[in-house]
Amino acid sequence: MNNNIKVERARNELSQTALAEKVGVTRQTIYAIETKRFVPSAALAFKLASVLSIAVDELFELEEADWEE
Amino acid sequence: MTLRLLPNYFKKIGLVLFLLTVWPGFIRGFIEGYNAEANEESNKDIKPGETYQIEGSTFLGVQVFSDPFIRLFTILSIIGLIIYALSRDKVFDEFLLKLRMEAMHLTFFLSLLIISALLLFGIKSEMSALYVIELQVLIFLVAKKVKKVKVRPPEAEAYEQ
Repeated sequence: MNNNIKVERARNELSQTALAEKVGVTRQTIYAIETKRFVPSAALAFKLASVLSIAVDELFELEEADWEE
Repeated sequence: MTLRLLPNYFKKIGLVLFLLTVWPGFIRGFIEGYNAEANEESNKDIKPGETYQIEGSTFLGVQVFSDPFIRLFTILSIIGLIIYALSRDKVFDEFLLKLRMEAMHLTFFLSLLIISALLLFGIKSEMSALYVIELQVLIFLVAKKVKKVKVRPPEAEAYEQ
């Protein structure tokens, strides 16, 4: 699953640590999501979208491979 | 799991207590295994502190720790594990939960592998349940640490601070 968290975070001038604090997770988790090692739950995805002031489907998008799993 | 009653620093207290008190039991386990093996080969009643010459090799029957000492340390190590298990994480989120689950899965798989190997190769083992649990705790802690280190973020980016 692709995501634009890194871009949106830079646009909002938020560090990984600051974003992590706002959504109540660790910096490790933000890093893991950005590097596509972890797909967040729907609740966390909505929280991230809310903090970054963007729609969830603009923040996350499915790849072809996601349909094959 | 919602049964997390103790503050985060108890995690370290529990782990230190466990690591400080677990070793006498391990040492005794090795000694008992060694003595049992030596005894089996020689059919001698090996006594503590005595050496035996069996086919050119020297065997030693040793009793390093007394039973009350071992019992006390075993209880303390279990208390250490309980304290560790009941302590909260500093920050707990779904990704760390995933890492924890993966570490538990690996621990279960390795335990199964070890037990299967013992059965498959007909290795007679009189390992106590406590040793198995201690081994599982060690595998779990190492696996979790390795997984955490693997996903550690690099140094701060330009817009990080």
